[in-house]
Amino acid sequence: MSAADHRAWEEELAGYVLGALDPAEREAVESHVAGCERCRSDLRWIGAAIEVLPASVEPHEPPARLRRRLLAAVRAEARAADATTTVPGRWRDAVARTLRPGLAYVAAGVLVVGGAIGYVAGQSGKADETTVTARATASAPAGTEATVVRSGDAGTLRTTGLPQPGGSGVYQVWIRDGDVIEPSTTFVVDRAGAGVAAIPAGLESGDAVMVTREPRGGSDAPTTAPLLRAPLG
Amino acid sequence: MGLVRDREQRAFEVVYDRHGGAAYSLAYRILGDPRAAEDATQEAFLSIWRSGARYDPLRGSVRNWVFGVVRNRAIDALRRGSAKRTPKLAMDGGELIEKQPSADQTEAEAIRRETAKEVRGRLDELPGEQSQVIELAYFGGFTHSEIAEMLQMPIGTVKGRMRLGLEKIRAGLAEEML
Repeated sequence: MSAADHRAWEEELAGYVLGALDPAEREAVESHVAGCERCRSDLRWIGAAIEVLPASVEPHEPPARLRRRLLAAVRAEARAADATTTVPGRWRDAVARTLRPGLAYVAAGVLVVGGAIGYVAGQSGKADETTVTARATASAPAGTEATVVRSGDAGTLRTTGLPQPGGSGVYQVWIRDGDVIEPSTTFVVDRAGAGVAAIPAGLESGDAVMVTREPRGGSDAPTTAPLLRAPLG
Repeated sequence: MGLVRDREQRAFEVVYDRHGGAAYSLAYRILGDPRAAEDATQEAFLSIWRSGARYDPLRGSVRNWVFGVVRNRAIDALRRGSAKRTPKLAMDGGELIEKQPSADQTEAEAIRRETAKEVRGRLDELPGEQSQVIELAYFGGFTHSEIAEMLQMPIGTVKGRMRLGLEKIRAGLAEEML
């Protein structure tokens, strides 16, 4: 596809994220994006701009009766629901992502996504070292792999196959302990996708190591889905 | 099952308490009428309650998910004619006048107001012709072709201005993260 063709799609993507397309145009964009990695990437990039717009509006306090009405309606619907009806179970995801008290938060929101975890524990070169192999989640590119070499409370994470996180991004290591996720080191990868991160502490109390992509400087709590997870056993 | 339902209700309550004010403000901005905004916000949150299972963490934050649903409901209300569908642009002037804080203004509201002011400041840095088409689309619910007709300009110009404006907003966000 020529650069001019892509420029045309870029303009359509702007209309798409702004909701300015008619249904046929929207369908055409979705169909194109499904098969075009460059446009998918562009959509993620330009889509972030839209998040600014709601934040720009003059704040207005909703009337208290709105909350009362909503909660009454929700209670009534919940009571009326058949016991066998599927409840909106992923509310736990939503509430976990809403309740982000700084350095730690309920883990469910970021842990329900992704694929199976592979766990291979073995002895490496030193007697007190254990190597844990993590498998990539469904959010990671194919071929992404990582190991954590533990030595007591500290360790080293080595990754292969991760794409470079972009000009304003880094990868960040997290240590999960039950419902709590603590931030650890940030790292970048080289052109070949290889990265190394020293984990200074936390492995003895944690039950899993995770990696997410975050803004430069890292985050207090994960802002994206995990790409890698390694259970600490 | 009762316990599960109790937990889901509590989760919904938390989501409303965290995002209800901003969602209502967005609906108010789009519809320009408090009752219409209240109705749209109520419809949106009930829809969110009923479709909570469809929330996908991979597709972004809860806040943006809520904003998306509320915007759609408010734009639907505009198109149904439950509120007058007239372009209401920041450049009109009135939107830019900050209200004087009232004595009972909460701290949270003060923070939201300050944030909104900062964000509007960034949007104000856009060339007027770019912010105009962006606001007509996002807050007015107008399509490319409707905006082109309204402003009497080629549709390609509308598309180009939208793209350039969003690129500038996005580039500004990226700079802030450095």
